[in-house]
Amino acid sequence: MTRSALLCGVLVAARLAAGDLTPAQKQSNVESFDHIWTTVKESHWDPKLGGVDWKAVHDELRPAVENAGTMAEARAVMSEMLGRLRESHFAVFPGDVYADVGEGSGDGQTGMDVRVVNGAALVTSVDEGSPAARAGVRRGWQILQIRGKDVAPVIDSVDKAFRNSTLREMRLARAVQAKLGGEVDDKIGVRFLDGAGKTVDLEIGLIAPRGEINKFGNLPPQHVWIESRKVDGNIGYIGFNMFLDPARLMLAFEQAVKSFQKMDGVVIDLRGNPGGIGIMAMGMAGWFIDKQSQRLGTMTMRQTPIYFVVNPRMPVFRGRVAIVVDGCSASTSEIFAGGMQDLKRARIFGTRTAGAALPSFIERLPNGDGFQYATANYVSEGGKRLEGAGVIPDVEAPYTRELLLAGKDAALDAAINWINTK
Amino acid sequence: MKRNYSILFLLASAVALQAAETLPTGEAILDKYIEVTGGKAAYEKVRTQVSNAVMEFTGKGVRANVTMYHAEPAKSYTVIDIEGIGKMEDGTDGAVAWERSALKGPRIKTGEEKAVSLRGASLGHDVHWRDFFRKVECTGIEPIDGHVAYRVVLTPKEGQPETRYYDKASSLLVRTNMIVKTEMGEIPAETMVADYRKVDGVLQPFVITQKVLGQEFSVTVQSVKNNVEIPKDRFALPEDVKALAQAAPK
Repeated sequence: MTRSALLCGVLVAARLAAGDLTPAQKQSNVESFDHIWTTVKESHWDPKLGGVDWKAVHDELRPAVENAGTMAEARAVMSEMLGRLRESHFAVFPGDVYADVGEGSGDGQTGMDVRVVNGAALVTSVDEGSPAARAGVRRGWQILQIRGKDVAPVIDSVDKAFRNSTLREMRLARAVQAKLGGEVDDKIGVRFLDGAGKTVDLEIGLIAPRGEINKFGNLPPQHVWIESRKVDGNIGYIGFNMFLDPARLMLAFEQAVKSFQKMDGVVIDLRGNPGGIGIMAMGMAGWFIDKQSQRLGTMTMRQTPIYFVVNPRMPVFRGRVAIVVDGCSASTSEIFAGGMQDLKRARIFGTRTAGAALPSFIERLPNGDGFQYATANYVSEGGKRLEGAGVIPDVEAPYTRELLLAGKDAALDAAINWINTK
Repeated sequence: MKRNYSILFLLASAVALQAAETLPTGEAILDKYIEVTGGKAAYEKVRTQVSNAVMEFTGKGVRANVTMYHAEPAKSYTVIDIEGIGKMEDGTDGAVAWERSALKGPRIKTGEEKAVSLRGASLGHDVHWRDFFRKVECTGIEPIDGHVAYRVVLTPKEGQPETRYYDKASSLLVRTNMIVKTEMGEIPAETMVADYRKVDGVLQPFVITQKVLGQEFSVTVQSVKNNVEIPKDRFALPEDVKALAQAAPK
């Protein structure tokens, strides 16, 4: 009753907010409703949907979508249907968000990374020798405009769409990063607020993304990189941008860990890493875990549970392991970090991860809206459901403009300090 | 209404026919399969085998090249080179069963998983099925993948039962359903076989399609060479596997 009243209120509010739909739009909303209903019925990991009478939900809500007079009304009905599952990562969002996240932009990049902190798009890193570095961009600078357009409305739009989602940080960062993209060899104008609070206008060239191109199946070609080095005396550092290209990445990871054997600890930097091939998490964990049959977690699919088992790899690294994450660390990054944390083999530093550990998919619906759904449940070895919750760091170390401007890396510094603490 | 009665009548007839038909024994079906695919003597002539195949993951745009080496008794080495992933190797020297991949590194198989690997490594596992299965039973007839097939449940000496379907008319195997025990869990797998071709007097399927966890992939055999010389070290354990085998509890 309460739910129905709430839905009714949403519908009335939505009707006031927008004009009537054409018959074709109404039809596409009904098709979208049916598509969502069928997809959940056929692909949810729990055939019983946690006891929800899915047919009854369909029969109750379908008339509402048939009678919806606006897109917002129709979207509210579909959201209500998904809400009955009481699961994260089942969502409908407006099609115009796609424009804000920059769908379809080219491969070119400036060489700077960005996070949105307290509503401000901040430069968190600048690749050495990149166009951004050559133009003089510094960490901690705030991006105000890109190509003459204010960034704030983009941030506001995405922030509203993902306000209650753990995906918020990732979606915000991607929205700004996409605006900074374009065709290789193009130039874009960017207005910054520098460390002294002055506006700075720069023309920044775009180059091909860092790393080597990896082609895997129907995925668009991805640029994959890995770097390793010694930091702060006797600590090894490994960072990579994706869990892909295993033939090259796993070998480089192995060589790095072996070269760090006599060091006090290793930092694995997964900030901004969206994941990739889940099995790679198990292969990497094997270099740090010396007990047989340990698990990072369990993925429950409709047919069977899949255990993420770790096999020790010789020689196992026995020093301290710190994993650095942020809200743009997702999927396999979370499986790796969450599992290593639960096995008490690593401490986690940074900010909460994206909470997108499941194989979840985002499709465009017939009405142009986006539809996200998950097809498996994942629980880390300690019993934590990562989906919609993310990995909570042992040591919170968020980005701040002040620290970035001071040349500090709060999360990495905290990880190094912990390893150095005897 | 009349149409419904007709359907009911047909269904009832089919049930009655099946009930009236005496099912052959599981043993007879397996022995018949050996007979129609070349006979025991032809099978036993094969002492080594090298096969090449192409694997495709349906709808995923992923391809792999597969090379398989087998030698009696129960030695095998398979390498699957997947585009964008790298090599996945699987083998046994007749005593140790192992796998190794770019994704996960090396691993020793134990228990039921090892038993299944050793069984599959033997070139004579079809003809000498009595060495591997303690019970075979024909449990019915059913339509399967466009065939009318005998359903035979095979219970191995070690491991879980598998269900095979043999075409009633041709006696050829058309499908196997089994639970594949791996370290990551017990995975239900359906394997469909087709395009039988004769190689040195033995008919064998050249197209194998497998459905696992909602994903489908096919293996199309490109070449099969029997009784060719295989380098002796082909089945030797790789160094990192050997180190694991030596460290493993006996």
